[in-house]
Amino acid sequence: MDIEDIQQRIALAKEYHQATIEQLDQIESNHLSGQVRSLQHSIIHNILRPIERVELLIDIISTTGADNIPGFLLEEWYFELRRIQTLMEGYEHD
Amino acid sequence: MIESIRTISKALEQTNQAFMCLKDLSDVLFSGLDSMNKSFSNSFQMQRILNDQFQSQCSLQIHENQKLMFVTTKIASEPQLAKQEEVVPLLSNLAELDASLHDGEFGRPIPGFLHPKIAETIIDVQYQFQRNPVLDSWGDWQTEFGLLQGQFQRLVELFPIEHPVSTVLVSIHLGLDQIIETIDEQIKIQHTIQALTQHSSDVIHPEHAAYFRLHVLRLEYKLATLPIRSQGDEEE
Repeated sequence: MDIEDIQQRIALAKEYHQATIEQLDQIESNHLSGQVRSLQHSIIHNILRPIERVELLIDIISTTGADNIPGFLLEEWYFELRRIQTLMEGYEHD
Repeated sequence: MIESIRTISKALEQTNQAFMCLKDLSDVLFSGLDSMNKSFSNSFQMQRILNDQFQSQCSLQIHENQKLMFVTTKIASEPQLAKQEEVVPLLSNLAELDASLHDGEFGRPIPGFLHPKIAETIIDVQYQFQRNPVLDSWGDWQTEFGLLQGQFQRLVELFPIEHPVSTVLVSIHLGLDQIIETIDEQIKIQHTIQALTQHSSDVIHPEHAAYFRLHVLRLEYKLATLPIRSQGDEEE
């Protein structure tokens, strides 16, 4: 895995989702406010937080060094990274 | 003949000293394995059994060596004994030993005898590896077992495969690999706990902090107690 490429995609994905949350803030409709809040909550907890977590994991791996992390944990983090990668696909063209 | 007996006697004395060094090495390994087994719920019993086998081989070789030394000392002090019929079988043992001595370093294997060059190297190996008497971190234990493995590596190179000690030495060397790997894993766990603790206190969202704390708890569970050398082991 190319770490720099992943970091770049993390930044783009975060930017995209934060912009979406801000755009949702602009919606002024009492009728839709419940749905808007629910959507914002969903984006934050299901997309942004996992992406941030992966960002932190990458930071730990970079500072600690992959050779200094137990193999079983590194493997788990690798799968977490692979899983989160699907949440970061395709934002570079938007 | 007396001159040959004296040469053989000297070689046997060196062999005795070399096997005593091997026995000491086995004691050091025993002490380390005992401490590790206490910390890892007897995970290294196989290594312990191999070391016991090594210890037993050393004792057998020393026993054979002492028998041969007794014969050479007796004949050297009373040369007239060589003419007696009862002594002839004992002399044939010494003749075989003399042949092995002339074969060179990797000559025919004789129980209780090592070629002087091999014996000398074994004695040197014992003094080449200086140990740290205080082991108060996983890093110290890693160095300790690394040194032991280095010593066994040197010994593996010295014994031809035909020698009864040879296979035991190779097995111990391989067994030490597993111990070093286990210690390495403990060092990694410690490093990662430190890194995660640091990150969990730095992160902005409590959600992330909880995620890292969970990892820390899992790693702490896998962290073994640092082995302690008992007072008795130090005296040894």
